[in-house]
Formats: sequence, structure tokens, C-alpha cells
Amino acid sequence: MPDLHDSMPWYVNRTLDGPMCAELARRLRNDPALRNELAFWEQVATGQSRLDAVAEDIALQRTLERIRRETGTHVARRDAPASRQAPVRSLLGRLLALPEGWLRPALACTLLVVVAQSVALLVTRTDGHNLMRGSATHDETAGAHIPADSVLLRVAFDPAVSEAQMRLLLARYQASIVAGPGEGGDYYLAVPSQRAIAATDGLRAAPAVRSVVGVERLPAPRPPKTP
Amino acid sequence: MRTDSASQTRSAGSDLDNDTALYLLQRVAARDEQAFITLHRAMGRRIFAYALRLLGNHDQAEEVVSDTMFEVWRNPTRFEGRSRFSTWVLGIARHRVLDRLRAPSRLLDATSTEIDEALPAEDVSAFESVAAQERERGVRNCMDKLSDVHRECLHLVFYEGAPLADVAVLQDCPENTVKTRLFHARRNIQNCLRLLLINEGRASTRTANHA
Repeated sequence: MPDLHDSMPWYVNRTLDGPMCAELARRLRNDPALRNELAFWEQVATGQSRLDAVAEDIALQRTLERIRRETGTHVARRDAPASRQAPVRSLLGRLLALPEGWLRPALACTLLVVVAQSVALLVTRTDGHNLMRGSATHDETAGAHIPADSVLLRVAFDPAVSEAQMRLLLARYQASIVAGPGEGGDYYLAVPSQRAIAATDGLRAAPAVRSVVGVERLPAPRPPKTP
Repeated sequence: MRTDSASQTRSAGSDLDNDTALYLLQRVAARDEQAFITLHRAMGRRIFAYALRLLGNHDQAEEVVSDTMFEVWRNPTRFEGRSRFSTWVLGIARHRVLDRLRAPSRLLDATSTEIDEALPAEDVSAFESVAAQERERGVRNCMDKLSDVHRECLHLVFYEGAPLADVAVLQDCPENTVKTRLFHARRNIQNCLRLLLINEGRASTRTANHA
């Protein structure tokens, strides 16, 4: 059965499945020649997997510098997208640059009053409430912004988990950290409601995660320590 | 029956799943540096290993990593999830490697002529004849002597842990051609081992005569 021999490399790299894999496993028990062939491919596999240790960030700085140099793009941080901030800055700049003479300080004062009133409104809102679903909301309990149409999960990661692993898990379930880590090391994640079940199941199955619990709201902020 | 070495090989090819890759690529399209760095970290070492295997030069292999990921940055929406993410990225890397080889025909040449012509292929027992401790060294030396296309094929199967269909896509050939390439690679390694045995036999005979 020549196909059996041809399939041996994929038996060794564990991508062979179905009847061919079962047949090969059965024949290997009784056929010394086939076992020698298996030993050969396993030796080749060992040789292939031996490359010197390579840094995870290999060529990363070189690539980022090249992006900046060749595309003229200043790569944006996720938490402060330049595309959102730039128009606001330019609008303010234009507004302040337009008026002449005494109008300029007057406009600046008006803007200051508007900002102060907005801050006062935010601070004085005291409507204790459960998490709103279906619209973006601000959880005053912990001062965190909860994305629209999302549910909250309290997740305890394994202490040994790397930041990259955490980031990958968050990306996989479109989750974002809205609070944490707390005293117990727990994080509060906001997950789109349509992915809530998949995210809960997936996170519970992830080796990097110790526990996942659905919660209604973020914990109350700790009172400031008094001397 | 499968050993640790096989499972290690498989883990070298562990993959970003396509959903995650597509999400991160969307973020890259919005010029999100963290998303790009995550993708770079997921693929950088694998691209480097692939390029190093074929080019044999650290500096050039690093250049291939940078060129490939720069292409990902420029065109993140080209990946549509029809293949594995790693297959798409390694396909880009392959073109960059070919550029550096400067003779694309070199990669299309499927034979290791010098080993093929040195010996007939009837003896396939050389592997068993080599003492166990010498096998690893011998097999690695002989793999280095294979043609580019054979080394590439072995790398994709055993370092990347790629399924047959993915190897065929990456090497741009039918699946049967991939199987044929591995058949020839095995035969050439066996012949190379036999040459090593013969040479070592001659050396030990000379030593005995001198004594």
C-alpha cells in the first residue's frame, strides 16, 4: 500500500486523520519495516525542530522603524487612536485661530465654561443603576466605560500568564478590560453580548484562565485610605 | 506510537486561529500598533526559521521577517480567511526568500544532483546501519545537503507541522508532487548516510593500517 508510506510524514506531524491514520497505526504494530520508516521520519522531525533559540521580537523594531520611515505613518496606540484625536485638535486650533483681537479671549472663556459645566454634570449624576444594555454607558460604581451592548465577566487569570497571552485571549473574544486587577487579581471584562456564551465557554477552557463568573456590575471603588 | 519529538514538531507550528487573526488584521487596517505587534510576535520567529532554513544567513532571514510583516502592515485586508493565517504569511515570506535567492529556478530544482548521482538508490537500510548516537548528527548533516525545495518541504511538514494540502499551496504544486518530493528527500538522505558510512569505514581502515 504505497499511500501508507507516502502518508507517514503527516502521521508524524499529527495532521493525518481518518481511516488512513487508523490503518497506519494498526500496521505499525505488526510491521518492523514500517516502524523503521517511522523512526527515520521522527529523526528528521527532531532535526527540523532544532533551531537556535530566536527572540520573540525578532526584527520587530526594524519593521516598526520601516513603517514609520516608508509610509510616513505614525502607528497609533489602541487606547488613543490618532485618527480620532487629530480632527478634534485641528478643529480647536481653527476655532481659536479664527477670531481677531478681543474675540479670542472671549471664545476661550466660553469654551472653558462649557467644559466646566460638562464636568460638573458628570460628577453630580447620582442615579444608582444596574448595567444598561443596548447602549453605551458609564458605570459610576467604578468609573469605567462599558462598551455598548456588552456583558460583564469577572475573570481570574493564571498568575503565570503573559501579557501577550492575555491580549490574544481578549482579542479572540473581542473582550476589553474595564476594571482590575482587584485585590484578588481579578479583571472585569466587557464582552459583546452576542459573543457572551462563546467567550465564557472559551475562557473557562483556556489554560491561562482560572475562573470566569458573569457579573451584573463592577465592584464599588474602594474608599480612599484615611491616615 | 508517536513520540515526544513528533509532538514538539507539531507545537512549533501552533497557530493563531483565523478569527483572532482576522480581528487583529482589522485593527492593523485601522493602524493599531498593538495589534500589529501581536501578529509580529506570533509569526516573526516562524518566518525567521523558514527563511534561515532556505537562505542560511541570519541577516537575510531577519530582512525577510521585516519585509514580510511590512507587507502585512500595508495590505492587512488581503487575508480573507480562506487559508490558515500562517499559510498566508509564509506565502508572502516565500516570495521574499525567492527574491533573495536571485535565481528562482534554484527553488524549482527538485533534485539534489550530487547525492543522486553518487549512489544508486537500492540501499535504503543505511539509516538502520548508523549507530543510534550518530543518526541525529548524520541526518542533520544530510538534510543540509538537500536541494532548496526538499529542505523547504521538510521544514513545512516537520517544523511548521503543515498538513499536506497547505504544503501543496505554499509550494505551489499538486499534493502528489509534495509526496514525491518527500520520497526523494528520504532517498537522498539515505544515500547521503550511506556515503557517510563508506567514508567512515575508509577512515577507520586507514587508521587500522597505520597502527
